[in-house]
Amino acid sequence: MSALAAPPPPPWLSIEGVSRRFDGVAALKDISFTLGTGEILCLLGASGCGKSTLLRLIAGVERPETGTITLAGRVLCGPGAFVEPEARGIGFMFQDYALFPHLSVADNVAFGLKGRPRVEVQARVNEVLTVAGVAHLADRFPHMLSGGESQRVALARALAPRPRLLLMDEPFSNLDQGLRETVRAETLALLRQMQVGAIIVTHDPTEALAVADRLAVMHAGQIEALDGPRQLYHVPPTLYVAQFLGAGNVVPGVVQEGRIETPLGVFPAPDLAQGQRAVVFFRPQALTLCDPAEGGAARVSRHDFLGAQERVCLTLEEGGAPLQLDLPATPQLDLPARVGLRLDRAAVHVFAEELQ
Amino acid sequence: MAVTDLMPSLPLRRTSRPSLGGGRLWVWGSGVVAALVLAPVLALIWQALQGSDGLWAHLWAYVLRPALGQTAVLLLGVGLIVIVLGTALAWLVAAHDFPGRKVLDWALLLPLAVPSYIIAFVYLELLHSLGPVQELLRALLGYDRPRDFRLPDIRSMPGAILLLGLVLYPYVYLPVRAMFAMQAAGLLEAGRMLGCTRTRLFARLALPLARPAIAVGASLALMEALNDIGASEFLGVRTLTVSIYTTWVTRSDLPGAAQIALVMLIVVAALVALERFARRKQRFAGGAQRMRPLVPERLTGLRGWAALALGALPVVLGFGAPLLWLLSEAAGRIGEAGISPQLWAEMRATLGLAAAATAAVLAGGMIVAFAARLWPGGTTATFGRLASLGYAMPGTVVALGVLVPVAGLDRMIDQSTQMLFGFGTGLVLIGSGAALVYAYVVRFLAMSVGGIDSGFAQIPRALDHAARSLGDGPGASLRHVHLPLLRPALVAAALLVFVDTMKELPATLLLRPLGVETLATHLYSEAARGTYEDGAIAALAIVAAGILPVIALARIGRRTGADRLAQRA
Repeated sequence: MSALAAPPPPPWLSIEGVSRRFDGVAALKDISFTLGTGEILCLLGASGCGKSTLLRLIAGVERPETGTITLAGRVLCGPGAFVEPEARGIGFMFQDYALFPHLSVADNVAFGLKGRPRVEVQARVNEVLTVAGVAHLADRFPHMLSGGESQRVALARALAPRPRLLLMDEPFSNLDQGLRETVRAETLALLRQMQVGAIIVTHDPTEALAVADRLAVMHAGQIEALDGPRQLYHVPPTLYVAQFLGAGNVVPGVVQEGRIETPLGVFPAPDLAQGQRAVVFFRPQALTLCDPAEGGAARVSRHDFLGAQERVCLTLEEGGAPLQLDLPATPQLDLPARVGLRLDRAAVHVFAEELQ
Repeated sequence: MAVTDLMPSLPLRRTSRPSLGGGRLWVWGSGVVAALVLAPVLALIWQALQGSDGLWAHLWAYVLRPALGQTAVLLLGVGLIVIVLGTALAWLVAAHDFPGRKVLDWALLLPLAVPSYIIAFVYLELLHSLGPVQELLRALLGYDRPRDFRLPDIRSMPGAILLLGLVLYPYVYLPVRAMFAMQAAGLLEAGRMLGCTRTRLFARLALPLARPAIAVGASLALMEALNDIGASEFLGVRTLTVSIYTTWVTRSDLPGAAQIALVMLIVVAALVALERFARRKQRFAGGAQRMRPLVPERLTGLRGWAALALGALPVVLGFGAPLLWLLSEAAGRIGEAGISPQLWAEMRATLGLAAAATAAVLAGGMIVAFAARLWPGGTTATFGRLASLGYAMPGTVVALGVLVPVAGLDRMIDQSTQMLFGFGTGLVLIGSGAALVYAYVVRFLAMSVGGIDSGFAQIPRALDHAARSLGDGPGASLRHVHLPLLRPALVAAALLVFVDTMKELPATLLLRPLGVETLATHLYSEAARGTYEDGAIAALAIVAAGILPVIALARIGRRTGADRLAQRA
């Protein structure tokens, strides 16, 4: 278990008790977390959960009502203190890239280098454009760029003034599926190479799991969980986190004497009260097929070919909710109508049933 | 020209969507409407060619050249004022927060409700050497007689520039304000994240970004300035419009007037080219930006009140003061003499003409827009553009162009009835006001074509396909599906056309049937005579009607504001 958990990094950016309301509606409630140098943190959540607002508060384009934000020992905002966004030394990459339409690519990148000698500006512009792989586009204008090119230019522009922290708001969401993974891998390599810490906002769980050193799942203006991606995926602290990060089976039941009884077996639930409604959660890969005599007997109701695997939907003969199970895909699927199910008990999590 | 021109999407878009076909008749109808708009321009060219060379030299030296000079100075001055005022006010309201900002946001549009001839009429009175302002100043400064202290005369070029700028700056304010509010927010934030301070943001980013919007607004304001006849004439500025009027009415030189009108059309074409070019730039600039609210800088204490005072000044001068003066004058007049039967008759004539014009304009716009919907492509798009030509043409030019073919037609009708039935009809088209309504249609058709077209754009094409697959022909689908969904667009277009027709002065002045006066022409003749009897009541009615579309415009602004708020995640 401890091998899964990320080591706690020394705090460098720290957010303490930050809240923000819009027109009386709380967008962020008492948010606290820290970020280490060079660490890449993902803020993951459904739309409207407050993740973009949090990013904008750190950037300084929005002000929190309460709370303190500190970067490298300097208070960026807090009681009686506010550092203007342009003085924070933080880079920001916008979802729509926000490239200045009236400036060429080179001038866009040079925008943040104002006040430096021209030779130096030119050298830096060339450098970042080369690193981002878009040096050949220097004289183009934003409306002449493709989505992927715009993304790379926006990244180059944000990195040009050498920020120590880069905030990215859905940086890959405007790209096509195929392009997205390539650009994402390149971008991360670049951040690691330049040792720039980053906070990346995304609503895509697979993206968050792939890029994050640590991952914060946000829900209704709060951080529901913050940990390493493997830890959160395999040992989710709440049902919301478990379901948000990937497909899973949910079997309801009632707690009796510290245990919960389901058609798939009896599972310990030591922390839950007697008579409380609870759910058992496990991922599709925790189920394996066996002979109907050896495990829970079930009928195959449907199976979907997903390419890499076959997702099988089953109903237990004893009744209850439909279950999902993943099989490695084969050219010929030979599935009996009646199967037995075996559950990896180590991969089972019990949660109190959430009132939605 | 009107408030609608400030809304986006005037030109019909070329779409490559497959058409459903059917309803060829609509395309023919669209062609007829386009031809009706084009006819006055062609007539104008033909008429201009009738003039002799000797007269042309005379006209050029004594009328056209000085008028061109005066017009150029007027346009330069008005352009400068509307650009500076419109842009500065837009930045003040968009990027700052201070007491009264929310009210100011829409109140700054109010001067749009005051036609240029009314602001001139009001300030001629207010600033008269025996008027209230100078009286007050003399009392304050301790002078007894007008001879001892006098403000510079408002009847001058600077006066005309100032007054026109005061009512035309909203043409720049609105698009620039919208640009700052909707598109620039993300870019300005990006600028700040790249180290640009708030104070330098305006010069480094906001102004360059706003350039296309400024150019669009300024070109529309200048078209309006070019169209003005009342203000220029009352204030003694001999512009091209005034020259056309005097050449035609006073000297009865129709070919000469047509020649001046053609020169004017060249100026208009230049302004339209500028506007189109800027709109293309605007589309680039607007491309991929997501709407995001701009976080304003809070101005507290004295700075906040100073901002309010500064922002309120144009509203007070361009709307508040004239309205108050008109109210008090009208109240005095009504208290003394009531509303005269003559004024009632004029009101009826105004409303009747406006209603007829609105119906005709909506019908024409519907034909053109629906044809483009049924048969998207080059032909219907060209018809749409031709039908929208009139929005840039000054009223005098339209009136002149309409008069020639209509007068010919009138003579033909008269002669044929004389031959067939033994009695003449006289000038039936001009006498009945049909000619004037035709001129209104030419001038205001762009509003309904643009409005209905953008209404159509809101309706998914899948609905057309669904209606047709369920057995409706083009006409039936228009009745069953499009018309009910277009209602808001139609109501908005009707309101704008109706009010603009009420306010229209130059074409009405030239084409109204003998003995018929509207509120606008009444005001004009009183101002021209220097008598101020029922003028204030007429002006008040026009301003009151003019406020309606401004409110509609302000509400559209607020709605998009709410959308913007809803979009923040």
